[in-house]
Amino acid sequence: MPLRCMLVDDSQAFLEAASLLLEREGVTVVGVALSVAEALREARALRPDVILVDIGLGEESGFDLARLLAQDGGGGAAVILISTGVEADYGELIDESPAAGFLAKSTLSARGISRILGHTP
Amino acid sequence: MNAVGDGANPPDGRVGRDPPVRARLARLAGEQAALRRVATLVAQATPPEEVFAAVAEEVGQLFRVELATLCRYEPDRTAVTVTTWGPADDTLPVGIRWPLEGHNISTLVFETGRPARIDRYAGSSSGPLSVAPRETGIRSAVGTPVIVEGRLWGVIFAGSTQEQPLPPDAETRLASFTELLATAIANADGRAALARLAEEQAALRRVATLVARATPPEEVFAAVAEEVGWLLAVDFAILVRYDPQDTLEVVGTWTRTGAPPATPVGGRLPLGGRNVTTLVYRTGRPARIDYSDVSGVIGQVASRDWGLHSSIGVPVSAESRLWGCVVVAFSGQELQPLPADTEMRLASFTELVATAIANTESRASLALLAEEQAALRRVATLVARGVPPVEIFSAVSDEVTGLFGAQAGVVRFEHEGPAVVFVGISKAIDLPVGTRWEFQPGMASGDVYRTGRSARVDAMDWSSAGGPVAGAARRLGIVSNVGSPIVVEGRLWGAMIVVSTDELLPLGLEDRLEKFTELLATAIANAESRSELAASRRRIVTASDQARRRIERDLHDGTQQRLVSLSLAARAAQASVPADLGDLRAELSRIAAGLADAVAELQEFSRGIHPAIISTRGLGPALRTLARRSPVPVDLDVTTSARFLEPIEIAAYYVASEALANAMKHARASRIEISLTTRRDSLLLSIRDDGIGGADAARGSGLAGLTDRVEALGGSIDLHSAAGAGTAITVDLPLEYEAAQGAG
Repeated sequence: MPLRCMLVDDSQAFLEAASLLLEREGVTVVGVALSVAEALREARALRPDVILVDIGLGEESGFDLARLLAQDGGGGAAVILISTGVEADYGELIDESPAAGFLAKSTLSARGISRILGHTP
Repeated sequence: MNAVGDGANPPDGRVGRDPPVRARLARLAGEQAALRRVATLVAQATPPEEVFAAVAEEVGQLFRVELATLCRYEPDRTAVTVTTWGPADDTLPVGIRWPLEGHNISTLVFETGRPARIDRYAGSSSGPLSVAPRETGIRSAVGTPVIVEGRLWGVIFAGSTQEQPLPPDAETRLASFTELLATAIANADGRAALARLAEEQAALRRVATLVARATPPEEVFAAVAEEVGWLLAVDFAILVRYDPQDTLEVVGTWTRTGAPPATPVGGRLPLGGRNVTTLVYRTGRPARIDYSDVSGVIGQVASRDWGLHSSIGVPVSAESRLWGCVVVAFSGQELQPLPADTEMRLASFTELVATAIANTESRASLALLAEEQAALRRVATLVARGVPPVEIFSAVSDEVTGLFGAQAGVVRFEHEGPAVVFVGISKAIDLPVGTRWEFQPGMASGDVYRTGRSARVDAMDWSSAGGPVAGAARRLGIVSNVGSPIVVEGRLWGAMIVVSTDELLPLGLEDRLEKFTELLATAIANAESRSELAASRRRIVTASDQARRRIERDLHDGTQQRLVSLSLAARAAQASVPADLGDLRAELSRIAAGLADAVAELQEFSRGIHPAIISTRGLGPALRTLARRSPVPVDLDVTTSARFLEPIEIAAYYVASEALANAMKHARASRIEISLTTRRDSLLLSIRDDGIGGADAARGSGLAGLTDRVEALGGSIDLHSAAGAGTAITVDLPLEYEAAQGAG
């Protein structure tokens, strides 16, 4: 059964490109959101398996959203933080976050998601 | 032949045997002997009284008279018996003064200045001086004048009780004796005069020595009073100084008895009325007075408290200005007036007093000038060193206090109020810096504000005024204040204020404050330029940061996003290529990877332009990121999680980033330590490595540019890099500065 995934990013272009790639790689993108409020709404409605959250949501912070989602805002979905930068840029912030892990946007892949979630490919 | 020839008779033996001649010869010999005896006494400088007595006796014996008297004439037409010889000499006591009246020898000689005789004394004499001789039984008398240096001094009187009148040559023969007397008196007077002169010279010399030794004026004044008192043999000597507002102050006193003076040194009395010091003050010339007719406070004090009976005052002029007066006086009932030459003798002393005053005043002026120059130099040094104005204000206040003995402060004018704000206050005034007062009457600063010129208020009565200024003035006991304007580049900025608890601040204070206010104006102008300069540098840095941030934003939102999307699209394309088109898949994979690399490079580049992470997370996280990305292990010690002004955080971040890059490129270090901490008003960042050292700021041009940035923010950067000893960079950034908000 394909993974049901939700994407949260403030860039429409990215959401389209990422949705296309993930779909092609066998992940079902059930929804997208461009802001924290929209993300919480959609997560409750769609109940995805995994939510990819951009760290830099414009003025808002992906870390904040990750915390909100972890407090059962996401209905038990795993949260993976994504960013244009590399993991090293954020260090312990990612460790301290309730998110399951981090992926760099430009190397985003279904395999990367599976690895973080502990699913063997 | 003749044994002796007298010139009057031919020398022959007959003369010696002639009884009248023999008698005359014997008499002549006797006279010569007597004259010789008296002459000897005179030559031996025997006191005049003894000479007088000797003469009276010689005359009495020689002339075989019963009474021989010597009288001295006095200025008020009286005669005083100086010596008497005779069998009944207790009838004419010595020392009594007799009026020269009537027909008697002394009066005749006094009136004519020539010898006189009265042959039938009992019947034809009259007047008080004739009484005693008549009572003694004198029947005839002669008298010859004693003329001392051309002046009729007195008379010798010889009286006989014999029936036979005195021989006709008696007057002539007395003349030799009167000449000797005159010599004795002249000598005695001369000696007395010399002695007096010597005393005077000695006294003047003593005072002159004090003056030359720069003795404090009070001691000179006391010494002058004492010397003058002894010299002129008076009862009191007083030296006074004339003060403004028609008062005198006693500055030196001497009393013959040694009793404390009725008005002590420092006592002040108002001039006015009829008295010696007021007369001298009004006329500028010597004056003498007898105290039966004085008035005014001084007159009353002098006659009642001091008990003065007569006095002379001589003016003391210092530098052509009437400075004060020397007064010498008698107390008690002395009828004897002060000698006529007293004013003249006092003159030399008043000149010495004037010299002492002039010397003291010049020394004091010179000393004050030197102190003033030193104070100005100290302040100028502070100004040149660019010490913050607030320190200069209090330094100047303290210097001015030290110089003028009055408290001082510096105020800035505020146009709303209008009011003054204290920016500097000398230590003894317990007003805090920053105190703001609106102008009130009595504040010299108010007049300075209105006129732009110096102003003073002396003797202000604050007792009935209300408000904080009056309250402070009363509490501090302030009575007078002077204000001097501070003009900065043509603009009236504020004033220097000097306050005093005395009624009067020295005249000319405003002029002397001028140099200080000029220095203050320079300091303020300098500080203003420096702060404008610093503000403009900060504006440049801030503007540049903002520009960079915009670039970074644009890169992120634009190009980076596009590259990311392209990379994803390439992989999406790769994912939909059938497996058997392996080459195509591989090519697409390479494209995707290339694009991902481009993103990473752009990211790196972007961080160098503006570390976005600073804006969102702050300096701590940004440093952590740098540390994590460093290939050389970094020990990071961040003891503060506070956020600081963005330009500060950015500056610190760039320095750390550059230092790390240098350490990696050049230092061959194995370990780097970064520490970030705050202390008082500063943010301190240090980056240390254990590499080869030998770095210098010029080589790594990145650091030079950062130095400008750091200094524009008011901070400092330090590089220590001894060869072989690693490199340490420390940055000190102020946490706050007067942000030129809104720039431009």
